[in-house]
Amino acid sequence: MRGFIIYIAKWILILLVLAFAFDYIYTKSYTENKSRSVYQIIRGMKHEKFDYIFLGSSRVKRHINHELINKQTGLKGLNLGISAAGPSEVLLYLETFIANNNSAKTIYIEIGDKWNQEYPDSLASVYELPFVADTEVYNLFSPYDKYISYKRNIPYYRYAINSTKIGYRAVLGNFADNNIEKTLKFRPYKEKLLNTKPIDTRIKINHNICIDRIINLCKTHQIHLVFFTSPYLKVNDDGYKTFFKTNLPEYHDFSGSISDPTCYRDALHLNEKGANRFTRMVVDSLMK
Amino acid sequence: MTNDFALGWWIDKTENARKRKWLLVFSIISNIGVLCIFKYYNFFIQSWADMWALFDIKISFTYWQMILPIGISFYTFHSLSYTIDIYRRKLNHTRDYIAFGAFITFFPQLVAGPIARATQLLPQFMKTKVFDLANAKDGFRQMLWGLFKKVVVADTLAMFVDEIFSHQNQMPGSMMWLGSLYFAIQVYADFSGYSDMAIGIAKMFGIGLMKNFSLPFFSNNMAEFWHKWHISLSTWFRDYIYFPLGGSQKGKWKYIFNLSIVFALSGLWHGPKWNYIWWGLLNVLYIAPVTLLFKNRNKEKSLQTKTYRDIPAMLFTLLLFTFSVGIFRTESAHLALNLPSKLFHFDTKFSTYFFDSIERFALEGLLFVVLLLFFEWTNRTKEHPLQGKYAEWKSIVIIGLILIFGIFSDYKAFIYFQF
Repeated sequence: MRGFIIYIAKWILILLVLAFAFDYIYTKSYTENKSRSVYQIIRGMKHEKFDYIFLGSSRVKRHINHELINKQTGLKGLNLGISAAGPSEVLLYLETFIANNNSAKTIYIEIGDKWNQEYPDSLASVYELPFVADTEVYNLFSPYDKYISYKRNIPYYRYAINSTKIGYRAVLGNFADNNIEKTLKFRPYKEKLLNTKPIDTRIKINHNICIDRIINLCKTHQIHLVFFTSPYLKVNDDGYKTFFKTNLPEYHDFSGSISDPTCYRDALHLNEKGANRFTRMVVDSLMK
Repeated sequence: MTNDFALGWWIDKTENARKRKWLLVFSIISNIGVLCIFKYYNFFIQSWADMWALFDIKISFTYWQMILPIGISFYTFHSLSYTIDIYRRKLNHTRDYIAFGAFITFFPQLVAGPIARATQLLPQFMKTKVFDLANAKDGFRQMLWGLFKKVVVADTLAMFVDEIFSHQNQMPGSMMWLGSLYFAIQVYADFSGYSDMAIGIAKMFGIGLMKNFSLPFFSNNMAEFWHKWHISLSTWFRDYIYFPLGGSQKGKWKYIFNLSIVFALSGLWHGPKWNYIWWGLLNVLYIAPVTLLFKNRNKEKSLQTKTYRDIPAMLFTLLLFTFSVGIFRTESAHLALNLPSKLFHFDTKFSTYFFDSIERFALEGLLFVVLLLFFEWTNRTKEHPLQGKYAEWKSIVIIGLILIFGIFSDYKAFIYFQF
């Protein structure tokens, strides 16, 4: 029996050695690559100056054609939206952007149905987990994720439990792919309307800590901060319009600006036609 | 459990043949009755109402909302084998209630088999155990191999299978073939992976469980395939249903009838769905011609003597199994009926945005299929691939592969837990 306990102990040791080795290789692949995800790009960006930056969820990523804006206005700017991002991801991105001595004259942040979300989004934030040793990332997760210390301290754990998103496929991609333009290229949805299920836009919290911190951060660094709401096809409540106007320093509501269903992919997202129309609207209203 | 413990004692003590028979019938009815109530009541009542609905007669009924006890199909069969074997005088009753309880509820094989026979397992619980280090180490490695099959092969393929079959109507025929192939490998890797883990854990406790899979994908025909797939269930049906019905000894029509009964019951055993029954009957179409025309049983090659020349026959067998298991996997009887026309209308066009990820990554699953078959083929003479020379090194590689490729994020229960 003693022999078997020693045998099992040997395998546990082998498991730990492999876990340490894989953790090192995976993390290295994420930290060395500066271009494969929006967060990697921001993390690797140093001393850059921009006229504008757009931050937010897929309602920024898929709606704002920054290539068109740059062409039409001659301004230098980026669309740093990522799918499912909420205020906490936006805060992290902004903190990292500023901490790396980058600057932007104006920051545009899309706000709408994500207002109620103070905690990191399970889909969007997973891409930040490789960098959990960074203080900003750890601080983002620690109030909400009770397993965050396991993810930071147990080797390979964070990769194993998120293997479909930050596992070997992404790691291979990190080694193979190194192209910022490709990652930031505007990719609108191509589909026609698939469903019209109304979006839940009810305001459930009066204060969002992350938004408060974003406002303070921009104030401290003298960045012009603009909040806006992208178009919705259908919502279940429009009380958010008055709420945002009252509670945010500068707010522009575009939520009802496009009613043509052929411009939508679903009630939450515009398709290519709608995105280009909306981008022109943003340029006309906010950037001229 | 107590019911069969008592009935086993009673049958064994009774000399009167008629009384023995009635006691056995009582045991069978009580076991199958409980199984039917929990697992099949809703299916039978729905099918009954559907049948009358064909004649425009509406029958109102209420579904029973019951939680199905995990592994009920497995321990019902464990328990039945005890009373039947005592009835057949193959086994004496036990007075040791603890040993009997351990036989019925032995945890490694409780929820998904292998289905234990009382004659094989019960005596092992009554012997004094001596720890065997070599056996325990081998059990550990077999458990590791099972874990690899489950979390690497089965769970990876499951992601593709779930996506493909949940959008069956929009999928092209080529994708349905790929989905069916993946499901064939998934269900094998999932179930045989569980069996390997159960056998491996039992080995660590010094208990030998029955082998449940013998590399079925290296079979030259479907009859051979079924001798190697879920062996504990197929031999259970063979010994307790097929042979008592007369087997193949009473003419070919009786043989086909008996085979149909066994496979229909086998399909039904997997769950109360018509597509399971059709899947079972389809297998009769596969097997009956082989056994009637070629009398294949005596000509079955052992795995040791198989060579690369057998590969075309093995691939054809895999193709037949893939087709049948696709029907098994469909999400309704209606979709099961639609599947053949989809499969035979071979089309490679993808339709909508839904399948972006599938289009991009579906072929990745083939890597896992090839990896599994490669490991099994090159180790086909062994009980499991992590035996023999370099067993420890192979185990390290397997742990590495589990860490890299294993799916830990989306918990997927073993498929056979539901049966």
